[in-house]
Amino acid sequence: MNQIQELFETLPGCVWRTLANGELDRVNPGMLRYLGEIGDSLKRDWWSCLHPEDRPEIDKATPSLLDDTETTYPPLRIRRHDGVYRWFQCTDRKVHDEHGMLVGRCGIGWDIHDTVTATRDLRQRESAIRTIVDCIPGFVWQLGPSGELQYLNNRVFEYTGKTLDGLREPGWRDCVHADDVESFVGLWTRALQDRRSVTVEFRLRRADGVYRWFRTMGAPILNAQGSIDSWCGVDIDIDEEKRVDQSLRSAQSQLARTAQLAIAAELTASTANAINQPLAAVVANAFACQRWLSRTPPNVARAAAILDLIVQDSNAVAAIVKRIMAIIKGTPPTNSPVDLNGVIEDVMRLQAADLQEQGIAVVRKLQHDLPLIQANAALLRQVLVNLLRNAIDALSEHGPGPKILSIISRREPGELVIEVADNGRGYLDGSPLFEAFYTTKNDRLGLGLAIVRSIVESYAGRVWALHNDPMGSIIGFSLPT
Amino acid sequence: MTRFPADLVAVVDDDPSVLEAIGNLLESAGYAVSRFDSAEAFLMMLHATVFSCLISDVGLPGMNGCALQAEVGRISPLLPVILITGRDDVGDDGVLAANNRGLFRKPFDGEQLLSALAAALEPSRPSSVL
Repeated sequence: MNQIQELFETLPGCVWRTLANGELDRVNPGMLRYLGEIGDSLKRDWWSCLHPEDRPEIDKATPSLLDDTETTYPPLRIRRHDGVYRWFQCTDRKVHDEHGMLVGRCGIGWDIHDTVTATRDLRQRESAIRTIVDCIPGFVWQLGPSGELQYLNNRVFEYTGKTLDGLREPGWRDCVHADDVESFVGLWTRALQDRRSVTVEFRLRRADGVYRWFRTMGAPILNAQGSIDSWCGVDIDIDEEKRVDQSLRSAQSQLARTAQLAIAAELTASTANAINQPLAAVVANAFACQRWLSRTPPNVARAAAILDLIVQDSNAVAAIVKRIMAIIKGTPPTNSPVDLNGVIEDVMRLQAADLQEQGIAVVRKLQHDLPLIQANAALLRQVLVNLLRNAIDALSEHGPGPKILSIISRREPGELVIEVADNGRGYLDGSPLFEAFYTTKNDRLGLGLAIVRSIVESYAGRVWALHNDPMGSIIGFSLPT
Repeated sequence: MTRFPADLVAVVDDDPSVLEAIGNLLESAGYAVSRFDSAEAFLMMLHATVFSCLISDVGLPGMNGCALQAEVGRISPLLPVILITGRDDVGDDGVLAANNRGLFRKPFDGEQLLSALAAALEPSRPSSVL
């Protein structure tokens, strides 16, 4: 008995017994310490220790006298001796004497105040964060490790007019512009495979049918083992800047094209004129020659004299062509330390609009620590523009399936290597790809790759072309370091 | 084809090779040729000489071929003119002039030039020599 009594006396937590009439009979020291003194009024009216707001709930939960169950009540607040209310978790049950008569109820209660307040604070914080996430002027999203939709903030639903379920696979495809779906999926698939952060630009349809440009930026969240727990990110509306950007680029390229056309026209006219003169002389002389020789008898003397002139004039044509080529090549370029990856990024930026328009997904595999190379940045830019345009052309008539253009830069012993690969139509073995005026298209001069070779070889580098696997081409060049 | 004995053709071109070549061509066809390296040089001789036809380059320094053709039309309207050009830019007033008998682009076909020359000289034939 003493042991049990001792147990009773020293229990942390509150223990009480009420009589059949509901009066408080006795409490353990723990409860006494909590409540302070317990006078007769308190014994009769212990109900007053409960927080008024909680009383209705407790009342509802209190079983009838005949109910034998052990009752756990919802958390309730009990007033401490100093007037402060704290949260308690209480359970009680009926007590019978040895004859089976109802003696009363006994119960036990734990102070769960700290847990409750912590939980409540947590809920409030969560609600505050949820509000922030829903109000951010952007779409916030979370995907599972394999790309399945887990969370979208309210902005997405407001914008698309769809629900979370409606946007799960395949519903989201309805909202992404048809022209952007392929590159979107392509870039995402690669990101999931490579477990890298991803940036994609695409058009998303608003509830009213209007498409706007968005940029998605997503990053993987890794768990403690280093595998991907989920993806999270944000979509920003970039429609305004995209349109401004596009019209700027369009104006720029139009300007460039006009300038190029003007220069080309002038060059063509001057060249044609300069060459036509001696050619006219050659033709007229040749004809005269024929006539002198077709006389009876043939006037060989005059024919011979004219042949000399023909040779002279033919040489004049050759000299003119040489002079023109010298003019085209211009003065020798100045060299300075150039960051090759930087030049690649510059050119990618310039061509971004075209690449996007053609639905070409771009993969960059640029080695990070490339040494600077002594070269002329403008010439290298020209090389890369020409390689890129070549790849874009090769992909222009691509059939179904994603169009992928890869840029690779790497360091090899003694040189830097750059390759542009495409999965386009490829080339036939033996085609003189790097020869001037070789082209498979009607509206091209076919000088692009010839210029690439000319510039690369002027730096003592090499150019090459390989077949890409399973289809397409890899055009590469090296520059000695 | 018989040649009227006084057929003297004037050729005007500032490019010596072309001038020489056209001259050679005409001579090989039996014409007598007077060569001039400018419109002004030709005009100085026009008063003193009877030419049967003028073949002139359009792109001349100083007075160009079209202006020369117009000037010839004023001074000597019966003299037929054939124009030759190295550039594409010759206005309509070149071929529409009353005294024009053809426009050729360099490099031109020798046979065609000779045919045009023969045709230009036809109307000036006295009817007894055909």
